[in-house]
Amino acid sequence: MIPLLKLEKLTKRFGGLVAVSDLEVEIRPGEILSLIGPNGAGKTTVFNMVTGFYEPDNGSILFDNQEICGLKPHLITKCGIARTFQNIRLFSDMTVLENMIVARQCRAKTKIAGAILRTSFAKQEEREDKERLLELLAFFKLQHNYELKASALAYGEQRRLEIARALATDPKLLLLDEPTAGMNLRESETIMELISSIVRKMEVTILLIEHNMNVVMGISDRIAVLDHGIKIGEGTSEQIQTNEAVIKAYLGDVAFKDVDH
Amino acid sequence: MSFELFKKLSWVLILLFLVSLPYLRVNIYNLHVYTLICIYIIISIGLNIIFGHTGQISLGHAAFYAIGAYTSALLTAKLGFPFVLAFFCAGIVSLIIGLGVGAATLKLEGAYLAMATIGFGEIVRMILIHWERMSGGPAGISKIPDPSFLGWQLHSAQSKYYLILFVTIVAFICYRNLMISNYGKKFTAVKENILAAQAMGIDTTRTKVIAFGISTLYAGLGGSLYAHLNCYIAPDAFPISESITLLLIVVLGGMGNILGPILGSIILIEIKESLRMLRDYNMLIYGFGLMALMIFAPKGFSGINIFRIFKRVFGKKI
Repeated sequence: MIPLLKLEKLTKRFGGLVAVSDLEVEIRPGEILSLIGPNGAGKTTVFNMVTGFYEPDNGSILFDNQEICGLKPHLITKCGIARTFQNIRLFSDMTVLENMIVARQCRAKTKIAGAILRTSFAKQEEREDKERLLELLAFFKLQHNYELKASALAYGEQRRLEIARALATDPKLLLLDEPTAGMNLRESETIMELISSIVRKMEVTILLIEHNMNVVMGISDRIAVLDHGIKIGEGTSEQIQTNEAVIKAYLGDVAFKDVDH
Repeated sequence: MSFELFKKLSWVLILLFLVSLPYLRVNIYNLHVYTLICIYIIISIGLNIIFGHTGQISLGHAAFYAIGAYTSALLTAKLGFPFVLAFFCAGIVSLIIGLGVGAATLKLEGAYLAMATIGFGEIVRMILIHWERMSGGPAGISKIPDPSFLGWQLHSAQSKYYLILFVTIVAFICYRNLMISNYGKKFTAVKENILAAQAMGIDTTRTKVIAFGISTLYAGLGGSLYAHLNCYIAPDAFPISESITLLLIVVLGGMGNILGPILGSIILIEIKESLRMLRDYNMLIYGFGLMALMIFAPKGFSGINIFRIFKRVFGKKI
């Protein structure tokens, strides 16, 4: 099967620090691949390279068999990759619906002249977009709050809006950066259910960064583990749980010494 | 009476009031002030687009105002262009220079952008003062013809008021349409969170340059109207304090608020004009007034409750 996203020899250095080193990962269409690893392992750096916020020092990023390495972030979004942020980055002074509208703009056909003249085409497109976006909000149980300012939402709702907003750009690949950060068990479960239903219903492939192991083990098809910028393991959740290198990275050598004695 | 009907009625009433203003026992001087307010509305609408909505400061907007005024003045007074053609040329010249300046400076942020735009404003002023063969130097350009429109020579204060009022209304409608459209939300997104805007597929550099371009187009058109209103222009009409006045109008009117430029222009220019009789004390009171306003109405005039009703009536989609 042709991978949807293929990272080849991807490398990023910050001065003397090698944040990501020769990373090779493939993501198949329709799967949920989780990227895990201790703090500072380089996970978010990978996200920032895939979405064009960082330029890699070396390597290539193939999306749909197309080189996207070096493209600007907005062009990568147009290609069909959307992301959420680890620390929420909503347009907080805009309403929930407006947040969605902004994301939808990358697919809009109305140009600036159409907007100024308020042509019937522009109005029609705005009506259709609104209908669609409200449906999408309903999927995330945010439809009743669509006229509220994004900053007025509860924390969990803001996290859901981040995901909904990313989906409004019509992505094929969705990158979620710790979607359950700062959530309690129940809220995390809701997010997990949402993520798996997104994959089923919307034909979206997901690359997930997550610290919560319950979430990761529960919904991932495959898991890739990073430590100090190097991939130290890849496989299903069972394979990862028994992988020595992975256990070492998380618990240190001590874990094995204790077992020996 | 339904709200929709009330909305439409309010529009009609306001329009009637504006049209009948010259007949309401207003003297020529006051009419001149109202006409000037219209010009300020046009230019501050432009500044509100780039500063209020898109969040990019410009402290050199008087330069684009000047570019529009001089373009129009030179084309009509020296080359004999008809007013309408010169008016549009003024807008286009200002727009082209604006797109160039925008593309060069809008990668800067905050204080650096402010410095760069101040620099540009001063360059333009210096060119106008020293390139005497083109601009007439400090003495400026006089004998700019009155605006003519479809064969009419608009000489009286009244006819100029109507012309400029008409342009102001068209400029406002275009601005309002753009800002309530989905397209217009991109500008606010750039102000709110530039990284998120990029991640949502918005070309933020392009969006900023477009916003800057529109704002300089408005400034150029306003400048042209100013030149033909007074029939005389000189570099000292466009000092840096003029850029600051424009910025004050936008901030006091309400940044990023559709009605902000209108309220800001009316109130600020009226205050300035009515304080003239106080002579030496006028700047003192003006200064204190501004401070008080910022303390009691930090979101500008359109943030004050009485004006919220205006916003509900005129600000939303019809």
